[in-house]
Amino acid sequence: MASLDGLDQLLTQIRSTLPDVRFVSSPELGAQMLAADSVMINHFNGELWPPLKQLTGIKKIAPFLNRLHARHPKLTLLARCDRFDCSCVADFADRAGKSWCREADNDDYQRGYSRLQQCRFIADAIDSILKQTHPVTEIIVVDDGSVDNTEQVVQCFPDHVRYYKQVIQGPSAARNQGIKNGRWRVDCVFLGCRRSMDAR
Amino acid sequence: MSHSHYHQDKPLIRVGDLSNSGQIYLVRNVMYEPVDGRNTPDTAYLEALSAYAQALPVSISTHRYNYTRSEQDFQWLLWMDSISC
Repeated sequence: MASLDGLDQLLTQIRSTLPDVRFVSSPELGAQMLAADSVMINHFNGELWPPLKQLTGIKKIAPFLNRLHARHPKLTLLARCDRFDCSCVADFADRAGKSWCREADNDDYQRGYSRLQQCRFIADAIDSILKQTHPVTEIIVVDDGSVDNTEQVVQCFPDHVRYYKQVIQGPSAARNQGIKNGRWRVDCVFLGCRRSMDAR
Repeated sequence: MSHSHYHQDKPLIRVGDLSNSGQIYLVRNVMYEPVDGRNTPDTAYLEALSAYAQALPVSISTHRYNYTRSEQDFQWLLWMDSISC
């Protein structure tokens, strides 16, 4: 049956690219679809999943940070202290041996607990622009206060990819900076660095 | 716990939230329903990647009917339903 083959393909793909995923399934799905280390359950037992039980109230950020850190080692934390209890962020940073900083004044972080540094995505984003079927004359990268090696990554690209750095001012200021430094009066496409474009 | 009162669920439920009676919500975030022609292995995989990037558990939603009929059968049943209404 095509659907079973598709499910097998999906689970295999997930297992091969997301290696720390642990499968949980009901027996009705069929044991043959899952590997030996999978867990077969009839009823969900919350006690076996303490991180899920902690996802309540103010402590929800601690397990979230732990999982996020395990998957994104270059995580940098920016915490707005008057919005929630920062002690869990400090504890996490101490245990993980990471630095973190408090952001008390920047409105961009009113809702944010952490900020991923984006250098791992910027190369893909620029690549996707360069692969457009219509030639691109100019690419401006505005770094809104990253502390990772975004600049080194961008320097590897051709000369018409230009790099500007500013202190953290948010996406609107970054776009204004890009427009200000553009050499051409053409249509602009703003692309967040975690996004890429189809070749068109 | 008293069951005499009706409790409205929260309008936005996230995985791991607790209900009023203490149950843990598990929210499905990957749809694998291939016979409808839209939620295929490829789209389901993209949804799994999205959940993974957000450090969320991947919960795959799939139903029995996907494995008991082909996509053509499913579309035919939909068509029969539409003309019988």
